[in-house]
Amino acid sequence: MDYSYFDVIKSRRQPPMANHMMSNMETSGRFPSATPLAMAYVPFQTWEEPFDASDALQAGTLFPQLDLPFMEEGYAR
Amino acid sequence: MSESTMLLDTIRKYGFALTELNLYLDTHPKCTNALSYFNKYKELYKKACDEYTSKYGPLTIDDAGANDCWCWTSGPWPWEREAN
Repeated sequence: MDYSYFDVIKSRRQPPMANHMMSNMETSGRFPSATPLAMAYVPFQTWEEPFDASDALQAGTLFPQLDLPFMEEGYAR
Repeated sequence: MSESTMLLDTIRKYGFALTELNLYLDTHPKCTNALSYFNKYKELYKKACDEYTSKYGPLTIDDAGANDCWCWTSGPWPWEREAN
């Protein structure tokens, strides 16, 4: 994930679009251009086959999708 | 690893699974999958606790005082358990 917020800022130099609906399909940087600033979005977790109990204790979570070991480069997979 | 430690590890791992499912069920109260896993682990957890209590004495005060003696303080302290 080579995400950088500055790409988003740079790519939105053009004047704000009058009609939001029309522009929110195009993406600029990593988010649709109409994405409001400073509003976090956390996808809702859905059920999945959990780890076995002992693996869960080892991984620190019962849910594989939440098993995000820290990578040296400083981003999750 | 002594049998008591193994039993304790079993209790810990099932307890952890229960806590995780608790957190998930808080936000997904109607998830039948999570509920069935929760009930499954609750049974396993209770069985492991009962087995431990019958062999090595009470884990929590809920288990203490079952027979006529207050054996809560008579058993070895947790840090002594590995010693014997």
